[in-house]
Amino acid sequence: VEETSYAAPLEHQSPWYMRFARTTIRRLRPHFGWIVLLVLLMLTAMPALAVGVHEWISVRRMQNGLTLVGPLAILTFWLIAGWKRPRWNSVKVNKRWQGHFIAFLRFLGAVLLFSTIGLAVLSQLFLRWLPTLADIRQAAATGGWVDLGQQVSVDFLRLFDRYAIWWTGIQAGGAAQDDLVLAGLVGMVLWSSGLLTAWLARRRMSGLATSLPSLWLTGMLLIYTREGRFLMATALLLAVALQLLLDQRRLLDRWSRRGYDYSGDVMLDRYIMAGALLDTAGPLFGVLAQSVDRSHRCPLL
Amino acid sequence: MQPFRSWYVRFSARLDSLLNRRLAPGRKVRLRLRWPLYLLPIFLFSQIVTPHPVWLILSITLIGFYTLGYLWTRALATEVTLSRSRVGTILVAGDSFSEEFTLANASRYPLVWAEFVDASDLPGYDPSRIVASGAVSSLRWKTDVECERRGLYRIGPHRLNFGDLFGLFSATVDFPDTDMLLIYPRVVQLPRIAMPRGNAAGSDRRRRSMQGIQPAASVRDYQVGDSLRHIHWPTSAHRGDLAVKEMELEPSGDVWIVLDLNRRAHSGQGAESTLEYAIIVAASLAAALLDTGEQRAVGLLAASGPASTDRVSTIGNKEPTEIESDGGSDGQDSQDSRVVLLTPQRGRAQLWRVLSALAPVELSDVPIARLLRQSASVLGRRRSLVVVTPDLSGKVGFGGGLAVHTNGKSSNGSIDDEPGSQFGAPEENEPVELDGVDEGEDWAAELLHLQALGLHSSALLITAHVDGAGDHLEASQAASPAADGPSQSNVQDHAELRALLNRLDVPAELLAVDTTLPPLLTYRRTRKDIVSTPTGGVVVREIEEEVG
Repeated sequence: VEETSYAAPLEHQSPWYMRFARTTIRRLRPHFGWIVLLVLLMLTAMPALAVGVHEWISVRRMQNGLTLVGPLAILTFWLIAGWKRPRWNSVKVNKRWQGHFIAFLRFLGAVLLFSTIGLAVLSQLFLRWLPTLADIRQAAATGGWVDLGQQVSVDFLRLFDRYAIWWTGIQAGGAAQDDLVLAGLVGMVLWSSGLLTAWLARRRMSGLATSLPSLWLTGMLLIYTREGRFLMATALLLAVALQLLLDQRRLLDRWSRRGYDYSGDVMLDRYIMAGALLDTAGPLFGVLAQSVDRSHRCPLL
Repeated sequence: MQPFRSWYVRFSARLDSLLNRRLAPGRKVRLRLRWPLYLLPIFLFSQIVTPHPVWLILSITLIGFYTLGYLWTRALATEVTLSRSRVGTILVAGDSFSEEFTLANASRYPLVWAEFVDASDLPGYDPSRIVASGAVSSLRWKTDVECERRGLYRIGPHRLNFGDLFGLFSATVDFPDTDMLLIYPRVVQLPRIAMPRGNAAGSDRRRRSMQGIQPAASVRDYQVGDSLRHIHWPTSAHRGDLAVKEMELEPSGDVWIVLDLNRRAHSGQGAESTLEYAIIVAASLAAALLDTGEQRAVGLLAASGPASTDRVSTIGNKEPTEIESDGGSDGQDSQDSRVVLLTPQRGRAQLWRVLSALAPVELSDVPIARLLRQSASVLGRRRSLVVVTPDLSGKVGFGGGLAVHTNGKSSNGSIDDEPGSQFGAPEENEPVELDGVDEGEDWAAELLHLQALGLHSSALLITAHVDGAGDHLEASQAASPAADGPSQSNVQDHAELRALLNRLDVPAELLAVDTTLPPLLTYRRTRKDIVSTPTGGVVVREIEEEVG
């Protein structure tokens, strides 16, 4: 009889904060995993970054807030639609007209809900109307809750005032550029794009389809500027990575559902191989695109 | 919408044939993600209208990834093969079935993942798994499964599903070859079972020609080799040609094992069912009779259900015969039931034939009484018959069967010559009318008919319960009493049936499915067992055990 003893698992050797972090990461893991979420957040930030490098559009100090709109839309949608497990995918639509009507009402409700949240998020990002902890502490110390409420409402309504002034200017034929108005309009587009991306990720489980809104917006914004091509390349890279991740996720779901025996190394091998391929193909495609672009602009052609 | 749809269908079919051009049959490449390709014309149009590197980057990336994905998938679809081979040949229920698989990838592209999907119908066996292989390399693996149930099973076909690195294309490679796997029923040591009287070996008959006066049943024409002692001179003189007497001899040592597969008679599920137990008993009985010193000739008769008979057309010397079925609840017609018939032969080869024939049998709708009646001509005369049945209703219809004899109205003239009392039939046995009992299903009466024809019988009654009816069961019952005691009526049924059959000179034994019978053949083996300890250690133990 042979006996071999092994060291205790790493889990029991780590300090408490490491164990806490690991447990938290494991318990809060979103439906598609942290990596997919990270890629989605980065992808939806690309159009806002394209706005930042754009020569015509300038939102100046609101750029940081704008960059957060897409990622916040993703997080909001996933939080409401089920962080760890999708809630709405299981809703079956009755094929009779009542079923369609209920589905339409549900859709309207979702639009209303996400529009309201979007308005609150965008206005907070650009106007910061929500009181800070210091404001609340001061109000608590002085008992000036009424003043705090008035201040919050005034800050929030300032958004509508700015839009009203801008609209009046347009009607008068001489509206001055207002960063807030421009950032609000772009923010609405980015918010909608982020929601659509989050929905597509859940619904289609196709990386290319999911990244299409962000890719399209980034491409459209970069058409009118010679800067920021790296953003397009990065967005493409993220789209391919998302395609790989979601396709792998789809396969894992199928293998688990069918009870196939598989090794986790299969995933790792695929990621490494895809990384190596992208490392080779990326520059190749870039060089190819540049040479085609130059030849296209050649007066002889 | 309709023209667009038909155009799209035509376009898809054309694209499909283009992708699979010059690919071998059974190998198919499919475009899994199609819609991004529809963006390509938009990109190119935009590049013409508003030239910009963005359109070029998008177009080249799209074309590049799709081209690469297609080349990758097609190369794999052309070059990947998967072969399988069985380890070992003869399998008995309870044995371990092993297969060895080899995945060979002759292409220059690695097979990152592939679903190996197997369609074998061996119960509990699913070797489907995810495999991977490097470029120009192969992968081998082995699978094991315990064969839970005897039968004839299909191994294969199998299929490989895989795709390119980014999931743009998918491919399937079908391997349609199948193999049949025959798992023989288990053979156990049966308790001592009383055989029909006249259990002398068949070969002894010829050596007993001078045993004195024996009753003559009939006369027939003289044939070369017949003993002159048996010539019937009055008939010969009357006919002007030699005629010999056919003697009513003791039944020979040839034994027919008749297995009842009627679904109405059987109960239980899986290994604990009366069906499986009856098959084990039949196989074990054949082994005991064929392998013992007497070396009797053993034959087999059963009416099997459709599921297995479709697949066993080449097994043994079975002669499929249509038998009128009972039209059971599943609506199978009579053509679905076939007779498994092995004529009595000696030797170990016959044992394998019996086991092969028993392996795939399934429940049918043919009552054993009907099987016996319609097979009477096949069974012949002067042989022994052992009926293996869980049907305890034999005594119920016995009254009806007996009425035929006592009234002397049988259509079979041969039994009119013999008095009904010869069978020990009490006169008080009047025809009994019972609800739901078909007179034609009275297998005990059929045994009497066959007995009159010179086929002496015994019965092995299979029951789901242990009761005191079987003498040999008493000891095992005392050692391990049944969890749920038998009902009083069941015990009474067994006792009455056994007593009745014994009075009719049909020895009957009772076997309960929960009686553990030792295997007929055992061997000792040593195996290694690896267990983990609570402290995270691993202990390797060597276990020596006796396996049957």
